[in-house]
Amino acid sequence: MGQGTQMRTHLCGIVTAWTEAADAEDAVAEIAAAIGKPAQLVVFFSPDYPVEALNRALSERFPHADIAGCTMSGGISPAGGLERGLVVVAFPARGFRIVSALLDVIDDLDVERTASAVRALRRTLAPEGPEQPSGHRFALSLIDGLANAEETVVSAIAWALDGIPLVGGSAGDDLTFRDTVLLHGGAIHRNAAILLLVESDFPVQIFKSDNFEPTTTKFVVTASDDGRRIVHELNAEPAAREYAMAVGLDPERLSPMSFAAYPLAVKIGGEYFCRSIRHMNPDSSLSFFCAIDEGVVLTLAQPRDIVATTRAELARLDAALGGIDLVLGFECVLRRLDAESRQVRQGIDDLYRRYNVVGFDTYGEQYRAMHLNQTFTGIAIGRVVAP
Amino acid sequence: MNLHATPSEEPLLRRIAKLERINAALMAHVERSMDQQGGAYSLFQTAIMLEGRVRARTEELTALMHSLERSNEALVAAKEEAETANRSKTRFLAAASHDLLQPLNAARLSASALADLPLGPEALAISGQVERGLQIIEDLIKTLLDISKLDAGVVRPVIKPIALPDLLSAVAASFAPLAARKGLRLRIRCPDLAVASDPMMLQRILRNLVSNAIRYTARGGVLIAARRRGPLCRIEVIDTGRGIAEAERDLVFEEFYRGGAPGEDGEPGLGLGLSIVTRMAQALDHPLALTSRPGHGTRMALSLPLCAGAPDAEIRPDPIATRLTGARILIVENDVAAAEALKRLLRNWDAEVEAYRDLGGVAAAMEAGTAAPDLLILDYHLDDGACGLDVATHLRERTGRVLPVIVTTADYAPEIGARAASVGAEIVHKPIKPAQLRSLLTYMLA
Repeated sequence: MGQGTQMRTHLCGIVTAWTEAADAEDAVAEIAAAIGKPAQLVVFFSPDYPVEALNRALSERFPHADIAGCTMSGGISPAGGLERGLVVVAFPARGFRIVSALLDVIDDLDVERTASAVRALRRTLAPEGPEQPSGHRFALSLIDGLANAEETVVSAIAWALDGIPLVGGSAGDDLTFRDTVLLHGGAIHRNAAILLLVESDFPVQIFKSDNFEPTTTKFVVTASDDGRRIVHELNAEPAAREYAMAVGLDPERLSPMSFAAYPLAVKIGGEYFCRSIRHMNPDSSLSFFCAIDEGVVLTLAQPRDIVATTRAELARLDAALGGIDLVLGFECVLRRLDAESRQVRQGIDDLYRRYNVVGFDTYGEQYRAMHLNQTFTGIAIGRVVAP
Repeated sequence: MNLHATPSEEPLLRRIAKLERINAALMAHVERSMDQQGGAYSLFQTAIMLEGRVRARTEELTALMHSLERSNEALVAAKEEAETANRSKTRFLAAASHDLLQPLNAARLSASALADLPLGPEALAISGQVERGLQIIEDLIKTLLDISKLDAGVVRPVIKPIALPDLLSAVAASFAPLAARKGLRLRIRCPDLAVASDPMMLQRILRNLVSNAIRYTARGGVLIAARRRGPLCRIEVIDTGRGIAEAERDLVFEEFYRGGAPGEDGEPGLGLGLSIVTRMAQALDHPLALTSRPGHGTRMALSLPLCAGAPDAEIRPDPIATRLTGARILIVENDVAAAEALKRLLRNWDAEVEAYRDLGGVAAAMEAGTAAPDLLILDYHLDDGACGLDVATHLRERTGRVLPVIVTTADYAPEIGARAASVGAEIVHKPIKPAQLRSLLTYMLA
């Protein structure tokens, strides 16, 4: 194994491997040397790898494996966070049954067609006989993070999943917002989503963790472009200016770091959900990582202790599962930025190490039928084989 | 309007304009929320609302599950209580039957002794009626006891090979006089088959079926037919009686149910026959089927496994009756009435009888020089938990001889039988049947 390449074999048989190799072919070769012959690969990779070369290398090195993957804004490995590189989760054939499907043209999604495709996929997972107990199945979604379509996609998927818990992440591109890419079936996809259905011999549990609390400052979206997730005005003022005034920052210097430190949230059903700002546009409008709507009331929120809230959630899962084997996690890239600026990244890395978290930094997280921002979601796999 | 605003009014007017726009945006949003055609944001909102509803429903279901668990526990407790109650009911019935059989025993002995006295024909007839009445009461109590034992599951069948022709002949023979009296044909059709069953229980089932058939048949006859049916044997009791109406078919198996009219012989049945038949058939795992055509007859069919092995020949000693004149019989019985009745009965047979209440009485009499008896009739359960067999032990030690012993008891517990057998004693169950006792005495003193 070359420099910067590591692997770990987990009790359930999943092998995780990650590398910071600069070259796509080298990266895949390093990983292939580490992990043998898996049945299914889920890969997360930096957008700076030439995606054609990477895809070709993966197909060549893993001719017998199904491969699903997406670009990321930083990786998560059981040794801590990665600035860039390639992260691979290799599922063995034994103990896991996995099927997957690609949904394309998601910015103009046919909900009925998508739902029936998902139902068909479900049937291939359990062609006959009674379904496994619910604690052993889950769905994973990887969605193009720049197609502005996650809400429609998860609604259609969750509708057809009929109770199978869904988690997932929106593909990132290191906060350049130029090109997010998916890999599935040996091909490269954009404006698409990948759905994997997994049935495991091991107990699994999905989770969602966030770390903010609302303040009393409120904004009303008074002008917006819903389809493109752009807010032009807040409180009948140019959006960036109104936001910057409220948080006490210079409107000219708003950055992802600012959006991470001062999140916005909506209150629905008695609970607050973050609606994260993706970037500021030249016309002082704000683009979001999620659906917005004119007339929506946004509440300014402030982060709480990210390490403590994450630790509490992972400890709860550890107890619930009787020991976590590994966690497939999707963490909002803004959380990473906020942890870095508060200099608590080390604490988060410690938790990744302790609970074997693997995954990537996202442009949005999927949890059941919801598309969320500024959360850490995922699926925890338990150590104990079900009786 | 702005044209006329003073500089101090400017900010206020601006603020009003802003608030109007905010208000308009909010109103539009509220209206859109009510609209079915939602955008991406409303999908998000719907997802969360659904999530909340799912969570609430899950909590409801969890609460429901807990309450079901609790009621399940309560049901288990109630079931245990019921089972305990059932066991204690069985014990109570056994004890009650025992207490009922004791005075009945005395009454039957007295009635029997009465019949042996020189009486006028009218008195004899009355004495006969009394005996029959007592017989019915005894049958009823024993049947109730059997039912409660079967229900409590304490009856374990002892399966052995049985020669079916012998068994059916014995059953038919015992009903031949009754059938003849009613002018009915009673026939057997049975190939040479051996079946696997409990002989006592099977005989009881068949006796009940035949008895019922005869009771409810006025003309024609009753056929007991056995035939091979694959690995099974099917025994049918077929009558040409009045049949059982469709509506009655389930009822006839219930306790104390009797057909609409009394039996043709005028003697009502107890209504327990078929209910004990079903219980025994269940305990033996012999399916029982009823088919009937009202006005034409009824067919009860019992299916039981055939048996390859050759059945043991049943040995029934046939005691020769001799006179008991001069035989010295010692009775130990704590129930004064029963002791008195037994004493009278034995004296009627010219035996010399001494009765004592307990071992103390016997010991005192022996000390006083009473001659050693030829035979002992000992009640098993004496006062204060003493056992009648202790008297036999005492006399054996005193006289150095092993005396013939008859143990009397109303208790059917197997350990009593075992204990009696271990010292070579004969068991006579109460109520004592005079003819049986007389045969046994003659046999033992021969």
